Amino acid sequence: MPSLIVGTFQHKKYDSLKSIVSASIQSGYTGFDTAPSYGNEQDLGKAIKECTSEQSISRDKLFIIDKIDGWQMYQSNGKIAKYAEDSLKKLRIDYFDLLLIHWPFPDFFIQTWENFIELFKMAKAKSIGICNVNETHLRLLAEKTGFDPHVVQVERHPLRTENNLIQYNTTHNIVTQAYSPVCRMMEPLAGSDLLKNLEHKYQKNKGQIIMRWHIDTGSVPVFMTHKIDRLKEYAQIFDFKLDDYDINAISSLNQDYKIFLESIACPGF
Amino acid sequence: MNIKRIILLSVVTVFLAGVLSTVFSVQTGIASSFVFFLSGLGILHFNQLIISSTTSSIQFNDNRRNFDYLLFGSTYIWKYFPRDKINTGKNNKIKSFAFFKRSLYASYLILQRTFSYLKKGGTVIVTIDFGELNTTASDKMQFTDLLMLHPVTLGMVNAKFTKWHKMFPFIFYPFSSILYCYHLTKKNRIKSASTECNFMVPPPAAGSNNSNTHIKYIAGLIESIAGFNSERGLKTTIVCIVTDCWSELAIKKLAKTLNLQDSKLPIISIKEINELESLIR
Repeated sequence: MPSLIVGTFQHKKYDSLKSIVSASIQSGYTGFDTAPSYGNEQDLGKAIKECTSEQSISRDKLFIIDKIDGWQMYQSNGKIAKYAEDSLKKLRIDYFDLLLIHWPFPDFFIQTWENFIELFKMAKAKSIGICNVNETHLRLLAEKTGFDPHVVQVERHPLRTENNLIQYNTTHNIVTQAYSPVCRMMEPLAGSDLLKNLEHKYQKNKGQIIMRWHIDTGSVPVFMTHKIDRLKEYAQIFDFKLDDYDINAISSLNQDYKIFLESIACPGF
Repeated sequence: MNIKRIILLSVVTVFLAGVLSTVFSVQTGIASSFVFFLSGLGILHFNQLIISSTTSSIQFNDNRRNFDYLLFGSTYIWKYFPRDKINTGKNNKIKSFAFFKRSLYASYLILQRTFSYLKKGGTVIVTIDFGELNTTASDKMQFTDLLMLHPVTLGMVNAKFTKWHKMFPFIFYPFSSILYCYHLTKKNRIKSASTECNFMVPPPAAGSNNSNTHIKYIAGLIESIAGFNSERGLKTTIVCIVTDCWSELAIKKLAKTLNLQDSKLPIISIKEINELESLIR
């Protein structure tokens, strides 16, 4: 799995998506994340096809992530294979590198997970996982199906460190992916004296410091940007490492602040 | 009677007059068209009033998090609870999802969508107004309830609620819209409970057999809500609003019914809204 993933949430126009995909591949990124609810699977598939051809990159070098949305789980009562096939066609690929349940709707997510396991066995998805869960959901999955996810994707950033979940995932060999990894650089992060000091210390900007914090604390950031410069900046986080004291200091900013409230998107979460 | 109420009643009267005159007399068709046009404008005005006053209740764009309390209930709490006074500065004390004529069933569905606003270990306050027993124990949902629900939930409860329903509540929900507009323009009056009770007077709704059915239904829902909250590490407090001596009886019946299943659930009776404020402060 790549160490950084390019998210495509809020990318609605083909031209800007294509330029991001092109710049990403040129900068060394290989991971792309989408979902049916983003409305851009078809555009992403087209952009990837064109860029890989233009830049002579083979499909197996890329890591493509898609999701199954709540309405699909509800409409099919968990039998989501048809929706997965539709997404493969839109993305113009034969398999997902990672397929995720987007939201753990209480009445459907166990059945959906069982169908995910089938897709994994059929090699339609090289790995399977689930988003927006806590340890309770993961224990339930393990109890009901005996099959742990390979990946868990959650909102994670210094204002919401999710230490318990990280620990659980590490114990169970589950990779944690972190969306909204810089919490939109909202306050108190934007004005943080700690982060300002670390900018001077490491000669990196706040975004790079936070992205490195993710790597050093065991999560894979999934970030969205419209700015090509931002892509290039984040690709430059592998030439330094945060020391333990600074990692802990960044983690101490935690206030359990969530941008995306789980129950709003997933009633009964 | 204030000007908005007069306009509302006039619009409805003129519209009905327009319908009748068109039906019974072709010669006055032109006049009827004019009447329709005017009343149409009035309906659009009130439609806009409903949308602008109710969409603010859907605070999914609220950036505040980790509230100590979430509040659910119906008209009394919606009208009289001064939540803005309590949330001062950066203090995210309480968020209210009480609304006009909101049933307990609708409140439960809305709780399932909004509980993430609470901090870990936060408290859900469920208010039961026995003065509105029929509303509280109803399984019907208003336009403003449906606005709060996730599309998957709408499907599961078989609620038909398209974008047209959202855009034109006055047309699709005319009676509840008129009632809502009426209550919106009504002046706030602090309600105080009567303490005198004449047991010789035949019991009103709160004492009837119908109310016993309602109380059992409410008790069942409260247990579901308490179970839902407990699974998520949240606390539940039931606040019963005493409006007369009969509601005191009903509250005792409710407490007795609930105690059979869950004796740990705090049930508090209040007669004045400042008692609820003291509970939270």
